[in-house]
Order: sequence, then C-alpha cells, then structure tokens
Amino acid sequence: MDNISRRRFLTAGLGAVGALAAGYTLIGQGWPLLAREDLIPGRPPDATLTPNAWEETPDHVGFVALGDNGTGGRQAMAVAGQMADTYALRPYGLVCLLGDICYYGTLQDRFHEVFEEPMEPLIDAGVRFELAIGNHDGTRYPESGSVEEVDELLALLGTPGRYYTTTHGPVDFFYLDSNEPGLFGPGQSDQLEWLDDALGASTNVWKIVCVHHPPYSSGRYGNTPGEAEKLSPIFSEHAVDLVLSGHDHDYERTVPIDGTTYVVSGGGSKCTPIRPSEITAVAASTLEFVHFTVDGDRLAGEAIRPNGSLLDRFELRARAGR
Amino acid sequence: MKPGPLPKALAVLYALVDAAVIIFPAVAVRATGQRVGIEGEYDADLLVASVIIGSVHAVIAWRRLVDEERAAERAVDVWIASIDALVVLAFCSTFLITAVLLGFTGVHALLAQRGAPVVLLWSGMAVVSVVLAEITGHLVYRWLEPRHPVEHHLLHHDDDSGSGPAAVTPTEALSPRRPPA
Repeated sequence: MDNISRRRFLTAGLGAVGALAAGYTLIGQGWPLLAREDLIPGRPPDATLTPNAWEETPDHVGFVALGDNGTGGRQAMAVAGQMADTYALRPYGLVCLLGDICYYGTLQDRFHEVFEEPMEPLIDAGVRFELAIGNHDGTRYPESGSVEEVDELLALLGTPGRYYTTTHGPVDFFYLDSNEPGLFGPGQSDQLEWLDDALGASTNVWKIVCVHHPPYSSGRYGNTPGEAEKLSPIFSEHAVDLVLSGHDHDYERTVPIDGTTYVVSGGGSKCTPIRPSEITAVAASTLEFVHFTVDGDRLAGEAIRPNGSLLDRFELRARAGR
Repeated sequence: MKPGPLPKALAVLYALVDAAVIIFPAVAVRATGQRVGIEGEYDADLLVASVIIGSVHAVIAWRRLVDEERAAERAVDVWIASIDALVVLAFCSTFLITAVLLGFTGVHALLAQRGAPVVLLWSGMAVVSVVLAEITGHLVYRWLEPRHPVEHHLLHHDDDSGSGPAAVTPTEALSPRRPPA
C-alpha cells in the first residue's frame, strides 16, 4: 500500500467513524441536550410590585411552589416573570423553593444570576423564600458529606437549617433534606425522628411537606428509591395533606395516596418527558409553578405556565380526623 | 473534467446536509421554547442567523465540491475530504455552542442582561464551526491530492461553459483524468 493509499484509508476511516459518531451523538445527545437544558441567557423580569400586598391571617394564606429553577437562563426568567405577574394579580407572601436553585456552577458564584436577578421583583416586594435543598444546591454536596458548605449556602437565603418547620396562616410547612446524608445514609434517623415529632406536635389545619426528591413520580427519575418506604408511614400516621417536590423537571399531581396528594413541580427552568402512570391525576412536561390559596380547610392550587395559561386547577379539603 | 449528474446531485445533497447541521441547533432551541410555553425570546433571531450562515456555507461547500472534483485526480479524495469536513462541522456546530453556553454561563448571562445580543455569540460560534470545517476539508484534500491544487471558481464563471478551468497547471495537464486544455 503506497503512501497516498494509506492516507485515503486513514481519512476515509476517520470520516466513516466520525459520521457514525456524529449521527449517534447529535441525535442521541447533542440536540436533546440543547432542548433539555436552559442554556440561552434571558432577560430578568423588570416588574415593580406593591410591597407586602398579600393578606395572611390565621385562616388564610397564599403561596407559590417552584422547583428546579436554577439555570439563570431565559426559561427560568420566563417562569420568574410570570410569578411576578401572578403576584400583581393575586399577591402572595411566600415562595416554597423545592430545591435545585442553582445549576451550572456554585450557588456562591451564581447566587445573583440564578436567584437575585430573576426574583428581584418578588424580593423587593418583601416575599419570603423557604428552601427544601436539592442535590444541585452545593458543589461538594452530597458526595463528600460536606454539610458545612450547604449550611453556608442556606444562610444566603435565611433558611434556618437543612430540615425545619415554619407556619404561615393555617398551614404548617415541613421542609426536608432528601439528600445523602440527610434522608439517606448516616444520620438519617435524626431527621425522621424530628419529622415524626414535628408532625405530631402540629395542631394547624394544614400539614404540607416540601422535599426535593419526590417519593412518587412518573417522570424521568421516577420514584426516589427508598423514600416512600421511609416517609409514607409517617405521612399517613400524621395525616399529611400535601407533599410538594421537584427533581423531575415536569408537573405531576397524583391521586391521593393513603390520603396524601403528591405534587411534583420541577418545571422551574427545564423540562424532561413524563409518562402518566396509575398514580397520575394530571401530568405535563412543561415549565410551570403552582399558586396556592388556602382558606380555612379549603386549598386551591393552580399550576401556571410561563405564558400565563392554566395547566391544572385542583381543590383539596384538609384531612379529617385531626 | 465536468462532474456527471450523479456527483452533481450528491453535491447538492451534501450542501443540504451541511446547511441542516448548522441550522438544527437553533431549530431544537426554538422547538423547545414553543413546547415549554415561553414566548421564545431570541428564538427567531437565532434561527434567522443560523439559516443565513447555513445557506451561505451550503453554497460554499457545494462550490468547493464541484471545484475539487474538477481538479482532483480521484473523485473519492474529494468525497473523503468533504465527509471529514462535514463531521467536524456537525460536531462543532452543536457541541461548540453548547460547551460555550454551558462553560461560561456567568459571562454571557451578564452580557445578555446588559443588552449584548445573544445572537452574536450564537452566530460567532457557528462561524467558528464553519471555519474549522473548511480548514479540515482543505487540509485533508491537500493531503490526499498533493499534486492537484484546486482552482476555486466561486467568482469565475467562465468554467460553466464546460471547457474546464481557465488556468491549468503543468501538473494538472499530466493528470490521467484531465486531458490538456
């Protein structure tokens, strides 16, 4: 084989292998990656909202649940913009962040882009943010078990701990750390014992648990292995009304499971496919957040897309037997 | 030598694929925007920029194929070089922009919020991809056909009469595929 023939063989081989690799990676990885992620920068909302315009009484509260909003891209900005528009129409004083508020870098580096910029109208209006930490909310967390870093990051949001409880009007909120360590691995029993005690001590009308990883989900990641086995008996024993989660980048509301309704609201900035299952009441792969209004023993939820259209509307009654 | 009908058709097909791999990342972004319920900030800009760059480069790639087919000793060398160029273009046009967007999120997000158009970043990466593909194609062709440099006729249409390139080098005149002019 002469020199030129060897060159032809080499370049033709590289071309053939490259063409196959290009076809496989572009169709299987590259284009889906561009579609799945939120990499295009976006403009932050510039709304000016009336501060403290919401009403919160012992019988009434309004709040929003938002998960997986940490890209800082145009999709995250679009969702944040609609949250500001919704506040203007129906003011609320609380945003339950369901985890993963920072992708593509550390929260310390990107706090301004992923949180302060998109949420500026709501921050300026005095809205409170409470976080259930996700698996992307610390660079070394959870792999190294470096919980100190996460604690530092949580301090940026004024979150009191990795798991904690708050009360707003007729609702007691319970925020869990579903990472490892946290709900799994060393120290898991501490949190479970705390949850059992905290739910047992709650005397409010509503008990709502916020946890990043969903115990039940029909989305891309599905049920978090082992989580339902740990949490469902406690939820059932203490008549938890609603569990709010993220992690799967979609929206899903389940039918009541042992009396508890589970909502996955992970469409804060990205979307992944979801295939409805036997537990699904409503499901969609879309950007969204959920606006809740609680009046006494009635809770109304509306899942809202960034263009303002309604994805789901549901109503719950506080569980009997309290 | 003037390419026959089949090489001409293949050259057109190649140009279409060339344009498609440049345009498709913008199509993916636009389709996602529509699917997930956002108004599509930048979508049209990115698509228009990609269509312009893809169309221009499709013409350039098609012309390069035709020119190289005329000058080459063996047509297969032209196709090997072109496929190699297309592979580089396909990888770069998707993964270069993805890597830049993913790797420097803070920088371009800050620029966008200060009014710098995202479409410039997007177009710049597409042009870099095109340049890398063209360099690859030319280098591979010259490596395979060291004695048959290409006479480019993008601006010279006198060869369309079928009489072949206006200038023929002594080396080309000795080529078994190319009778002396």
